[in-house]
Amino acid sequence: MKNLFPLLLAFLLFKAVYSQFVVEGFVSDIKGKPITHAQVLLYSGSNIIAYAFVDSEGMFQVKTPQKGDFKLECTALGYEKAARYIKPQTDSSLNMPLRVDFVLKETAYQINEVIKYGDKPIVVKPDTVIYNVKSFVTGNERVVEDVLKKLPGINVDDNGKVTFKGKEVEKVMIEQNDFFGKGYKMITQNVQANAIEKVEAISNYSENPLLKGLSNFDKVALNLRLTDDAYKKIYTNLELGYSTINDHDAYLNLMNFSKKYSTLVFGNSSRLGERTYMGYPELVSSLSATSDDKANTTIPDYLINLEGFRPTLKRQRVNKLESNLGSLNEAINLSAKTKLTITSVYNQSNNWFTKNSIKKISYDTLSIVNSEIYNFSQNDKSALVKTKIESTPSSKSYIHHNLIFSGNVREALTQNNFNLSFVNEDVNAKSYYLNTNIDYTKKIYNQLLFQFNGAAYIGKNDEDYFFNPLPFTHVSDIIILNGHGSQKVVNDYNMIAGSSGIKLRISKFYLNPS
Amino acid sequence: MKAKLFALLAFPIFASNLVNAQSNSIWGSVVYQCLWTTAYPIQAKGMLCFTDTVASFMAISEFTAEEINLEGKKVVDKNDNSVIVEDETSPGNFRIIKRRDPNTMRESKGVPFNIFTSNRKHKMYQLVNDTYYANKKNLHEPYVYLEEELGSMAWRIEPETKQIGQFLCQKATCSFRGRDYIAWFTPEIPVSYGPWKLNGLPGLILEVNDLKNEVIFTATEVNVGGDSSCRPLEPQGYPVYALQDYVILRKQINEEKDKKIESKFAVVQARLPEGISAETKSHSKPIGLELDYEF
Repeated sequence: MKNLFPLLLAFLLFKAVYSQFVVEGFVSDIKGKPITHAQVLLYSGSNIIAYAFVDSEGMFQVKTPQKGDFKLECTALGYEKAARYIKPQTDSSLNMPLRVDFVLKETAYQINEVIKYGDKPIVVKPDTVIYNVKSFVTGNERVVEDVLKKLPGINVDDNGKVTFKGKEVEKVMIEQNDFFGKGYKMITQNVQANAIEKVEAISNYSENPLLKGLSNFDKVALNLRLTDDAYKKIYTNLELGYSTINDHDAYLNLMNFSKKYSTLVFGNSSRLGERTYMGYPELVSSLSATSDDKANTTIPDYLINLEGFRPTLKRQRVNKLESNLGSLNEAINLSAKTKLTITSVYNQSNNWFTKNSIKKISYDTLSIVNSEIYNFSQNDKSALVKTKIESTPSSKSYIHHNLIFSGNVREALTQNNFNLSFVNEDVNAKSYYLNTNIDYTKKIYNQLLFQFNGAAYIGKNDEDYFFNPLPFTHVSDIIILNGHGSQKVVNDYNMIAGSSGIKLRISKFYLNPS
Repeated sequence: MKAKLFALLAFPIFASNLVNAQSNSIWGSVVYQCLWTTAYPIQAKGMLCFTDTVASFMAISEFTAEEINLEGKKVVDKNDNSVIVEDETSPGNFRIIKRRDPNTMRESKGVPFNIFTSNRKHKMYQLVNDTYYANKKNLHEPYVYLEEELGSMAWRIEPETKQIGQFLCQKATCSFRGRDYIAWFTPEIPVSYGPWKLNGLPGLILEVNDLKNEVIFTATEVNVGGDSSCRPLEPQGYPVYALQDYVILRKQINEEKDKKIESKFAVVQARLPEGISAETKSHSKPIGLELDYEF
């Protein structure tokens, strides 16, 4: 069989060479002078199947392995087009190149055409790049993240981190409304793709309008522009999915925007575990992040974490995740100078993981079998409300106030059965977190600013841990344990801080001239 | 000295070329909307001017174009700010004075494109601005022409067609220097030119994009014959080097730079406290339209 292959190949090659159809010829003008810039196209029906350019002597050669009726067309700039229909008659003619000569007539040639296109795919302005989404999508995008992945210059990594110009974006706004700040994953992974018409990538971004031009801001942000539907009526998008093994997947998206009120509602319920969802501490931390990096704090996570063992596969592959998420967000322009944004999220997730393994080790006559069954389940319920007030009472001052409250309840359980000896672990935890911060900026004169930041937070993590049974039953001969272990951890934290300062621009070296 | 000699040698060759080009009376020009994303999107206006035997392609940033309009085509001081101005003797052609990238305000290399294609000589020339290279070669000015052979693009003609304006266009695909391009060309205009370095199809290329959508050229205006006053701009005034030599030397320069940085990293690594490790790496990757070379 091995020997047959080269033979077959040789046969095929021979066949290919044998069945090549070759046309050659000479192209000249009426005076017989060769036209060296002519080109020859071989058509089969209306398809171009081969082409050739005329060489410096006016000769051309076109080859094709195809058979059938052909049209040979010769064109040259400044000359009339000439065409010939050719039909290879017998098989013997395949061996010999067919000779076709062209004599082209000179012609006056004039084309003036302005090609109109719709919107340009990308519009570049000094501080903004506007992407026209329609030019890049292929139709199989589901959420905003899928769209962003296709835009050149914008990158989205596996964890949902969005970068532009190599920097992580500060926020993803919808029609200039910032609902989630650094927690923009909530938007990019939940808002439906087909609602978006344009994506604006803003560089040198500053939330505080007074700081613009005074500090060298290299922050970037995205703004999503919606289709007209979201303005005229309530934009609704509902997706339902159901599989035969009782897995379901449902997404709901409602949006309405007007001059005064902007509403964004989304919810999803999924049993597929495909999405990386934002858990309790991560979402709260990202939502309480302010534009001033120095004032940002990460809120403490639970100290006892049962999620010990995971195989080194992609998380989505080994997870069974049931998640239900609902979010209601509203931005209200209280007056021309003041804007109130309310963000609320309720998230319930149930995370499962099961491992079942049997290992057998044999050496000579000795044989050991280890069997292990490991079950993990974690149920999280969290609710979060954030209000944000931004106000510019005059053109020279800016006030920003944030208030966040969040609560979380967690029940986690592991069961480990190692060679029929059982160990159970149990964690019941609850926490709350309240954060408020205020930011006041006043312009004293052109290049001098006064700034005050105040922040306060209070929070508590309360965790109960049970371990059953304890591997040992006696501490001493007298003290006998009942076989259970437990631990309680309470983490209370609170902080109040303030800072004030002045900012003065001395040099405009860093400034963008725009 | 050697470089100067080169420049002197290059001059008469181009001059003779110019005489040849003017024997035919049909001229054409195409305006392209250009868009390429290396780190971030850059938008430019491209102008292709061609005759039957030669073509030149130039692209300038749209900001720069706007700036020039605002300033009434004033030429800014050559030693300081840089702009490109439209050549008044030959409208549609741009004369490079010097230019800066509007986003970074840094002088950028390789942009704008200035490419000259000669079918008769089967060669393509690209004007580049590279200070490092110029220093290596002891040149006074950072501009050099890079010469390469035509015909390195192996186009595959696909059966799909599309109407662009009044032209029926055929699809063709090609893999060229690290990118996969999809081009739409029209046999109705029988020249083998296209935007940037893309050429070799039996018809003018009106639309091109690469698979990643990082490079997009779309024709917005086509003028052939008539009183088109656009003239292909001949390469002149700067020394000519083979692209292959340039790429190899450029690679060497980058490797030297990497080595230098690596040696500095090594010092940092050595001074790290015990038990702390830091990963350091310096690797210069080509960015731009050409990512990979066949040599």
